[in-house]
Amino acid sequence: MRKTERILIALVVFAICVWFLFPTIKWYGFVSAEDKALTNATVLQVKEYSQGQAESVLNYLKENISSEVPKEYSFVLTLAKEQVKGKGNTDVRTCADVLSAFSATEDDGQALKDAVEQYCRQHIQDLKELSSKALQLGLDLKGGMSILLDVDPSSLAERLGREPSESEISAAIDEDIEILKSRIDQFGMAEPEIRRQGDSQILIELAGTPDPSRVDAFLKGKGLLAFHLADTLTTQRVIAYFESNSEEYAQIMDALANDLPFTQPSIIPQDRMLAGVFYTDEYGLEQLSSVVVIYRQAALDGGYLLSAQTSKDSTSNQPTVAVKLSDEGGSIFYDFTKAHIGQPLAIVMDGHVKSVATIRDALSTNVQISGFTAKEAENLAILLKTASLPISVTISSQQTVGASLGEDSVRIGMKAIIYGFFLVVLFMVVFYSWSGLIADIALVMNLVIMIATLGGFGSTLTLTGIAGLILSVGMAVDANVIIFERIKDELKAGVLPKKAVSTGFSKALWTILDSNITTIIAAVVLIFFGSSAVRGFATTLAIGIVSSLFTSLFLSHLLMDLTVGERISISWRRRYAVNEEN
Amino acid sequence: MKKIEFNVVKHRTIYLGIACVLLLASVALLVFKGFNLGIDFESGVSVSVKIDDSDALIEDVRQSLSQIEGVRVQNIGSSDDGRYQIRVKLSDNQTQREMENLINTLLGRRFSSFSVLESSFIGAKFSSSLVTGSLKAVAIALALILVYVWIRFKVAYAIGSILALIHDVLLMLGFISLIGFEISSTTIAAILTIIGYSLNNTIVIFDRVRESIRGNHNQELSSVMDYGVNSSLSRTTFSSVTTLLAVIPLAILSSGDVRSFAICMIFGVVVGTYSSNFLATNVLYTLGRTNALDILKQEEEEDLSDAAVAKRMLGDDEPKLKKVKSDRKKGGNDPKILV
Repeated sequence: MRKTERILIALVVFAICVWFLFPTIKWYGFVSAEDKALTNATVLQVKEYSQGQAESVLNYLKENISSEVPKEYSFVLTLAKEQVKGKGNTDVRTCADVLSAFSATEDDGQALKDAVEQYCRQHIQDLKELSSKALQLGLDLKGGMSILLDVDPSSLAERLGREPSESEISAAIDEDIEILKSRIDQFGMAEPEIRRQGDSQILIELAGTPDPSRVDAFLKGKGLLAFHLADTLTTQRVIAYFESNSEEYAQIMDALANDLPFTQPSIIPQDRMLAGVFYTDEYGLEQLSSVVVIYRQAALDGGYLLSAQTSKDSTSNQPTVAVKLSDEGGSIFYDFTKAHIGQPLAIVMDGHVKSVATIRDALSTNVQISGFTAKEAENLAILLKTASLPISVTISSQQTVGASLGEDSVRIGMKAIIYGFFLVVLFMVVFYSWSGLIADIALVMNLVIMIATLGGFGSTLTLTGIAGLILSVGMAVDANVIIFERIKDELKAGVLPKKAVSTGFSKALWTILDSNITTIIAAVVLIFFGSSAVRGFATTLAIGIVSSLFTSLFLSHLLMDLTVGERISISWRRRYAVNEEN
Repeated sequence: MKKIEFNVVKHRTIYLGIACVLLLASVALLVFKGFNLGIDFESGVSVSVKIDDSDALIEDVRQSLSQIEGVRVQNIGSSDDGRYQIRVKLSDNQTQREMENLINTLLGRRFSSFSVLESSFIGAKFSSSLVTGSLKAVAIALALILVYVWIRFKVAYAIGSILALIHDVLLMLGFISLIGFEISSTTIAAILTIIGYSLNNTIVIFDRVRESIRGNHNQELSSVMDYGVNSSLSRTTFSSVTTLLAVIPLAILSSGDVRSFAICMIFGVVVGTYSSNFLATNVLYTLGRTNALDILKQEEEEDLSDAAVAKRMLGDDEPKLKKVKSDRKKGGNDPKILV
């Protein structure tokens, strides 16, 4: 291969690595601690933050009409410019300019608030995206909770009435993962990470300090969904009753909105109860909209549910949710709906009424629920799907690492690694002189490739991953040492520098390949068979070996070829500095 | 500067003796002292707490928790840190949450200020799967490495490198038992790292030894092998020193898991370097000397190494090589490879 081609390849690899490394550098170097914390916020916190920000921006602008917009709020200038685009006056500088751009001087500034809120939401979204591209620290380093679940195939066998096949179990586990994901989303946990592990395990990782009771709630969500018959007549009477008892009404609404216990109004019969009707807002949070009276006894619960998906009614073109029930559930539901045609049916999730639909026909295993907007239908389909797990799970292990412990160990650990790295770099220069510097360049490049690859694959850096990183750096140094020793041997035998370099590399080639291939065999086996902690180690090691092969055999070789001419500087001992007969 | 040289093979009784003594000591430790099994290997709840009361002693912590049956309390880090690990097994009808709450309440009664650093729950199934999973992975990896080294070198080399690895793992386990570290994901990671490190070392040394054997057919096997080991000695030293340079700051500065990892690594690097230089080569020598297994490459004919080319130019041919082999079969203490 010609030198120019080799240089080109090296530059292309370098460019690709920098591209993948960029988010990591941006995240750790240029994102403020407050912004980092925002990415861990739950949907509720995001909402509160955005609205709070909108409020304070508006207040500030109104109070400081004549001054310039301060730096911390400079984004509103961009928003205002966007607003006045094409309307002539594009010179927006002061607070008054911004207010007038949104015509906020005349009204209550709702348009401005909406724009700011929208901007904040987008800002957090962008940050979340950036953080997902950057190399993140594992839970053992930054703190959080990890839960390992064992699935129990016998529960699936029970539901199917026969032994499930391997592919059925596998599909059920995938469905479990989807359900757990949406449940966690609904419970407002921050940044969940759910994945399958091995044949029969599910790993859930939650960053920060999740509330244990909420974790319990989403794990034990089974049977929370149910169909209840609603009572229209009593509902109307209750609403009329509330009109004359506004104090009790306020109390009950407050209790319903916050899931607190309350005393049922006396006019409701014993077998029925008052429940809140909730809708999901744009943040994905549930909001109380009205109340309805439902029968306490559920007509059917979610345990009978097989699947749910959105579709369109063929005649009316209205969005509908198609629900599939098990055979047993179908026959129960058929008997029930047949007896109650024309009556309203409430779909209840976790005590919240999600929708009320009128029974038009006797229904069996295939149930069409209509009367929503497309978005609502989609939400409902997700909701119905999240009702119960097709294959039940038990907690195999659960680990919580306090954020303080994580932070501390990371800070000290990083410091120690940096010290160690500098010692190694220094050592190489001292003992191998200028050639040592080439090895150091290869070493740094090795680290760049590793971090870029880990970040690019979206992996996290765990404690055992750092162990793999250290071993890889060690092996990269070793490869260079083997090469240099070979070159020195050649020089001692009186070979000219240029020839010594090429012979040295070719002699070292198989030694390095052999030692690295045996190690990569071990790493690959561990990736496939090891537990999750071991796997983190093996993945980093495998990536490190490949990159160290590239840096030592290709990059170092190229740099040596480029720098070595008549003279070579490869030892602290002067006598190798120039070629000398031995 | 005087070059340091080891008579690795000549003094093999000493080197093998040291390895045997250390191995016996490790096995004895494993049998009689056993392991401080980490929470990863036992089902139960483990809670790490930091108690801010400066005058709190470990006895106070134990006493405050005395009503929990079978509770174990240990110091983490240095003893004046105020950090403790509390471990307890769960009975059938207890949940993790209940136990954590109980520990919280009991500590709250005795100490004015404390914080929970870490808490984990391990189910019975998890611990057994971690052990069997790790063992299975290591066994498969060793088998594949054996096959690879067999193909690239010869079976004697494969046996030598695997024995060296087993030596490293046993000594590491013995060390862990002696120091009283936990067997956990962390220490397993350290052992795996050393397996990789030592294997790498052994292969590099074997490569030199093989080259040395090929190139010097007319000398005593022992001195040829010694030459091979010594010619890679500066590389071995450099690599070990650089690895130690990377790990020592970690052992000095950090705490907890990272620190136990680093300490295990330092021990492992020393042991791994020893086994690659002195144990693996002597196993190879013993196998080659007694002719139990051939340590020369069979396909010498296709060998294009400098040594082989030079040999051919000097008029080396098949019958002579066969004669060498038959000579060796008659057996002498130190066979000479005649060309």
